Amino acid sequence: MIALFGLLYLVLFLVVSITILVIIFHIVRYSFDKTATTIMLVTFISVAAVLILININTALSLDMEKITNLEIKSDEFREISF
Amino acid sequence: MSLGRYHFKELGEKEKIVRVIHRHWFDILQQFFIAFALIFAVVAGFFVLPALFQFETADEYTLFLFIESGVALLVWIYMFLIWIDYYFDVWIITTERIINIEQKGLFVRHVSELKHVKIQDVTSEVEGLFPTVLNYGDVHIQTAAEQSRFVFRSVADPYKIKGEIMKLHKKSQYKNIRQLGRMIREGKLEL
Repeated sequence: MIALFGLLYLVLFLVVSITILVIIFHIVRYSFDKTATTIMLVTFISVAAVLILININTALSLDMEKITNLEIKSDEFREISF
Repeated sequence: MSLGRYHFKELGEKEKIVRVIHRHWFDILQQFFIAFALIFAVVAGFFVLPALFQFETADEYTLFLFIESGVALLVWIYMFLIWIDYYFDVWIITTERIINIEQKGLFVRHVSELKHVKIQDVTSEVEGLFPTVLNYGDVHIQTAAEQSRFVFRSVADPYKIKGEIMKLHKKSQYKNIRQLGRMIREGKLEL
């Protein structure tokens, strides 16, 4: 279960990273105005970097065993009640 | 308008950029409504949800932050995808031609150009309450080129743009006539 969550997170992270790189590529390659390019890049990368760091940090801090144990306990409760 | 800061790789030696046109800001604002609603939901959730659910352990709060930051990142990327679609749809009017660049999604980009001398007719259209009040609309250019019609969609002040294109079209016609006259005088062209 934990491995599955980890794998799903990794796939999602890869997709998001590729999308970010594609956006940066478009801004750098196709922009006509150098000032606008700089502003767009700084804005996009700074906010995206902060959000990614928070997300990775919280993902690594998560105790998946506790979270999955909460689900297991509720399943056990349902079995007993039934 | 200072256009010195714009750069376009395929400009000719004597060719100058007259105008760079994007879609009207109201067009992108309509698309950003959803993004703003999502941002509001994320920000409101950040303050309201902890008060509603009263997280007992640090793990619960960490999970909440994980989901919040993930959603915020997706919304941020979504906003920039809308921005790219808006900003890289551009029409460049130069002294010699009109360049139409259409960004359709991330991996589809159409670039076409039209020389002023090939223009046959220019029509501007402003339809609706908001376009009338905010003065934006479409400019249709009928051409004798391979692509028979160019359309500037939802651009600001379409009447002025139409006037500028017609002026450039007339200039290109006079230039062609003068060139023809010079070639005849110099004997390079026999009638």
